[in-house]
Amino acid sequence: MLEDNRIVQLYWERSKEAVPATASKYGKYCTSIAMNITGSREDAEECVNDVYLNAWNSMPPHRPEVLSAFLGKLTRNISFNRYKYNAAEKRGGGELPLVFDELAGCVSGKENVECELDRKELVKAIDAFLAALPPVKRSIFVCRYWYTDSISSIAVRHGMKEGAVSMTLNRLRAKLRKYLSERGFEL
Amino acid sequence: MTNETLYEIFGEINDTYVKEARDIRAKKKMPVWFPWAAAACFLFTLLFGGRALFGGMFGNGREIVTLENGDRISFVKADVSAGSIMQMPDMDVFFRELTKEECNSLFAGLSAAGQAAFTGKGRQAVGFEGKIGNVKVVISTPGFCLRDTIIEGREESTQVEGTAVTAGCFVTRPNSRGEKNVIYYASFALGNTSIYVEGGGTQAQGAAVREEVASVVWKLINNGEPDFSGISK
Repeated sequence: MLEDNRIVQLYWERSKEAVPATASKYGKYCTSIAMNITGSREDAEECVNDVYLNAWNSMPPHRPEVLSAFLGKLTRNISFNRYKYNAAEKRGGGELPLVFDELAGCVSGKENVECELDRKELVKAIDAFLAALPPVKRSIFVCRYWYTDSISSIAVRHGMKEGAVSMTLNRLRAKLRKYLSERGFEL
Repeated sequence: MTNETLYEIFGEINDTYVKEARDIRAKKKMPVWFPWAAAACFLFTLLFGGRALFGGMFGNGREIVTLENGDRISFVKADVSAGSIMQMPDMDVFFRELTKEECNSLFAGLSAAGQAAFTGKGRQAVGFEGKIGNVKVVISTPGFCLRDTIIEGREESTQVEGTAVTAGCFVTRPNSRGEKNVIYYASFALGNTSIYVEGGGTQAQGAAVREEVASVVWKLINNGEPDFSGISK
């Protein structure tokens, strides 16, 4: 498999090998994210195809430093949009409804204009919170709330029991809520 | 903010953490602790009995609180290992915030607040995690150890109203603001439940924290074993 910077260069050269190289190295990775969010193999495949199209359209001018994260973010956003569309049509599943239930305890449930203005600062604060966590706990948090992995797959990945993963996530959510509140973020 | 918005915002975290999460794999299989989970909560490994690590902060190595009835709690200097993730039986665990009435039924007259843990299979609570005042309280029932900290160091128990109480204290590593906190903790059993309490504060607040932890221990022992039978999922 090609190195990431070589794959990015293929996009910049507008080479027809760019997308096949991406699919070969990151196809399963993107599909697993899309499956977690949409809950449907068919929707996941369509989302991943959209990811490749978006990648083609965004490189150049982008030259991502971490290609996996760049593709992962595209997948996450596209899949989430598909989830919202499906939810409006009352279709679909995946892990997302469970993740939303967990996050409900961290937020007020009401949107306000100030939330949008504080968004960049909020992301900075969340990054700082994650930076202070031990790597394993940070990984568990990211696997659940970024990758939308199931509890059981997180448990397998980290060599833990499912109960311990649930408990760790519960504590991390409480810790995050307190951390953000202390810094003036009213969610 | 809605949960969907927060989920979207999580999507913008640092790329390094996104990559790291996929690079991490379990290095070894964890042992199955099933029958020993509750007992493991009370295991303290003896390392170096006479080791002095705190530059005189805790004087001769113990701080004693005398309770109203004359019983004493002895907080002995200890180390704490990196907070480890306790093993639990392989089943989903759910948490629910308890109502004031439910907390009062478990801890009469103690102004407790917190969550109960339930397994996916049973309807009854298998543990509790919350606070009484400023003191953290973790209660585990047989087979479900909710504690996430392992203490290493000297062990000393005293009797409070006929119940053996093991207590200690340690100083944390500096936090992001460079501050060290002092933690006072105690553990004991009431019937079939194992109870862990912990209070923390700045070094200047140490005495007040110690008194509050001791007070909660005494009140919990006087209340008796918490009855989870009325707490359902």
